[in-house]
Order: sequence, then C-alpha cells, then structure tokens
Amino acid sequence: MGLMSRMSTIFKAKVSKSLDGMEDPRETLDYSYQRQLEQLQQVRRGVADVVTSKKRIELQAAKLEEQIHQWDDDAKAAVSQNRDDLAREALSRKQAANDQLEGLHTQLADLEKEEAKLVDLEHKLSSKVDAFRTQKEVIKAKYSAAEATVHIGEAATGLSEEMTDIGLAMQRAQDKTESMQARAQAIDELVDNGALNDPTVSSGDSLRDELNKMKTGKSVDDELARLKAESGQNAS
Amino acid sequence: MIVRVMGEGQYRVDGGLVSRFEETDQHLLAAVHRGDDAAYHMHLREVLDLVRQGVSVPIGELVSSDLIVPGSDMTLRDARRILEEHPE
Repeated sequence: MGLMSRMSTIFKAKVSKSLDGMEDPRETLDYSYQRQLEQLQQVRRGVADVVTSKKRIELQAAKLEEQIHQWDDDAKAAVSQNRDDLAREALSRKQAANDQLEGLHTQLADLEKEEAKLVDLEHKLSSKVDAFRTQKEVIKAKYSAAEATVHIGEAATGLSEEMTDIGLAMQRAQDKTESMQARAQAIDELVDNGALNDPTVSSGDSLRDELNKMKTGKSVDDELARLKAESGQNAS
Repeated sequence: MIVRVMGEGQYRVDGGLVSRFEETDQHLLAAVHRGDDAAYHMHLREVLDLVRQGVSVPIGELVSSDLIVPGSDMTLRDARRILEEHPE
C-alpha cells in the first residue's frame, strides 16, 4: 500500500466508526442530524481552544520581549558604571532568551496558518451540515426506506469524511500549541529564576555546544563593544 | 473519481489517472520511509497538480472520496506520525 491509500484506509475506518449505529437512516435521520450538530459544536469549541492557546503563547512571548528589553537596559546601565562583567552577563541572558523567542515566533507564524485553515474548514463543514439537513428533508418526503438508506448513506459518509478531515487538522494544531506552550513556559521559568544564563542549551553534541558557545561569546563581545562605543559617544 | 485533498476539499478527477496515482503513491510512501523530504514534496506536488486539474466538488454536495491525498502543507513528519498513530 502507498501513502495515499493508507490515508484513505485511515479515513474510511474513522468514518465507519462515526456511522456506527445508523442502521435505519430514514428513521434516525433527525437523530443523526442532531448528532452532527453536536459534532459541529465540538469542532467549533476545538477551533476556539486552538485560538485561545495561541493567544496565551502570544502573551507569553510579549512578556519575554519585555524581559529582553529589561536586560538590554540593565546591560547599558552596567556599561555606564564600568561594570563589564555584569553587562556581559545581562547581554548573554538577553541573547539566550532572544534565540528561544525567535524559535517561538517561527512556530507562532506556522500556527497562524493552521488556524486560518481550521476556520476555513469549519465554515465548509457548517455548510455541509446545512446541505445534509436539506437532503434529509427531501429524502424523508420522497423515498421509501430502502431507497432512503442508499441516498442518506452516501450523504452521511461524505459529511463524516469532512468531519474526519477537520478532526485531524485540529489535532495537529492542538499538538503544536501544546508543544509551543511547553516551550514558552520553559523559557519563562528559566528567565524567572535566572537560570537562563547558559546561553546554549546543550544540543547533546559537545562539539556543537562548544561552537555555539563560541558564537554566543563572540556576539556578546560585539554587543558589549557596541554599547561601550555608544555610551562613549554619549559621554563626549 | 472523487479525491479529497486533506484540509482543502474534494475534487472530481478523471478516473484514467488512477494508474498515475498508484505509481506516485508508492514513491510517496518510500520517501516517507526513507525520510527523504525533497522526494516527498516533489511527488506530493505532482499528485496535487493532477488533482487540482479536476473540478472542485460544490460545497453543498455530500460525497465520499475514493482517494485521500495529504494537503500541500503536510510535512513528511506529520505524514509519518499519522501513519504511526494508525498502524495497518
């Protein structure tokens, strides 16, 4: 089996699971429509949850940005007091937080796209549920039980497939927000208790760590030199 | 045949394309197993281009699909994860 045929099998399994218990669609038309409305509500709540989590991460990122500014100010103050040691420390923390924050922003942009897609899918699903409602009325009026089974079966399967699609997209977005939430919190805690002073979180590769440290050290030196030059200009 | 592009919607596609899809399908899965990002995206784009030449299924129409294709934004890692979460 290939990738697409595997995906198709996964969808079919999910769809048939959600259609379980719909043995006589004609009698249960209204009931199944009710169930679809409930599912649609769940989807809407799920989408809203993703949006809320994203907002929370954005707030955390904004708080981090404030702290980064704070360190920048601290470093300037230290330079003006000729405390290069303190300035170096502040700059190194600033840079560590900056690196983490950049990663967070990239993820946020990615999540933004997922969110837009989810909203779009939710609108589509809602139209499909509407279409189902119309079809259900037509079928109730027009067909015998046996014919109804055939007609509604296809409609119910199609709708269920739509729900499966949005369900998978939602799960993906939720997984992403969860991992970002964890990352944002971890940075936050490190920043709060000042443990983010080792600018390079170990990559598990000692050579890589050494190289990262060298790069960070170099840019801290550069920035310190810049601050000193600035304060020198200000003083003169 | 009806093809669903995940996260995008359904298309009515020329049934004569089945063999093309089947062939690419094998390449896609192989790329996922190898972790070959470039090949994965190349084959996926190939399939999506073919599918999008079809006619988009109107929003008020409820039909089931004959084939499900990952959306263009599904990464190799996402695809692999879905496969792992739903073993054969």
